[in-house]
Amino acid sequence: MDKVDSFEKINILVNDIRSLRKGYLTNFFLDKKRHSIWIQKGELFSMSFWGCHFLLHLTDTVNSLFFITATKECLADSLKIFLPMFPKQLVVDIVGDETIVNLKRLFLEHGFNEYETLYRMCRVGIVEYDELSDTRVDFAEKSDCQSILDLLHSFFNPLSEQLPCYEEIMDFISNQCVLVFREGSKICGFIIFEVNGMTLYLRYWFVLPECRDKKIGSKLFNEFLRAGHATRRQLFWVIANNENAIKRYRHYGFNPENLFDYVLVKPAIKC
Amino acid sequence: MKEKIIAILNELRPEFDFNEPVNFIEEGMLDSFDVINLVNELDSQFGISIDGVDVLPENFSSVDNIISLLQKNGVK
Repeated sequence: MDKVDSFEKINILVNDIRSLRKGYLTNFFLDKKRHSIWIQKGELFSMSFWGCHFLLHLTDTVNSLFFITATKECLADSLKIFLPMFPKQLVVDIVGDETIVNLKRLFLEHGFNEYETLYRMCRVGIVEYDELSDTRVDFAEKSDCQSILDLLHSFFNPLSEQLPCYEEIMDFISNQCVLVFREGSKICGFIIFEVNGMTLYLRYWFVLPECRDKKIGSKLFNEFLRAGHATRRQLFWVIANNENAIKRYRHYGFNPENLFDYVLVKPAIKC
Repeated sequence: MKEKIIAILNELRPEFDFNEPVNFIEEGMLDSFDVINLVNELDSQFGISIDGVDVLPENFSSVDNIISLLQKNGVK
């Protein structure tokens, strides 16, 4: 296994597969900020086979598998060799429209289990928000970073929700992409989001269990919409069986897209 | 070629107007997931295989850039 120490290395892997001119399948969608943090922290590794390269993001909590491959057959052959060599728990996200079911099946045949399904919800149009704001909602400060990280890791699922690390949260805070609701010094809830031109992307929306039913979530959401008032598309991923959340999102005008994220987990091999 | 590219883009992201003279990447009209799908669709519809070194977001930031990319990869 080789450590990936630059984007150049990833480009070489992509180029190698493209040069075969047999096709291109991947679940690695470049996110320069996020992936540069992984590279800087020494958490990204690669393993190469004919017609298929694996990228592994290895952390204390989750080991994630990414593939860059020419064909499904190359992927299958490579999995057959690679998986017995990696005894730890492994998570893979298969992302795409309904046609990716074949890829999902391939991983299931290689010892992965269905863990969670997420789908993307989207709202298209001008953002409408309440002009009145609550002074208890404000952009997070750098000193809030550890508290937000702790809340994320206490209440969200690291296997299925691709939780950001400290450095990523700090980056969100620096870019004014984290809103918090405070009562005194206590953070009762937060929203983490990204604005990319005309697209507003909701990453995490959270209210402490004991603070729910106080409209804290909707106050945070209103400020989130205000922050993204210039966007024309708003989107996020939701866990498919989280019916309460889906109902709430529909209330805000979001509808499901034909885009799925199948989270599959291969258990650790017992010695 | 231009019409065909715009039709592919509209199929991919119908919520945006790709006739607008803006940077599709900076404006958030296409993300890295869309770029991968776009590469596969361009490969298939134009019968080519875009070089790996060219699979960079900046090459998909406008219709003109996509045309240049296709021409570089042998589309006339």
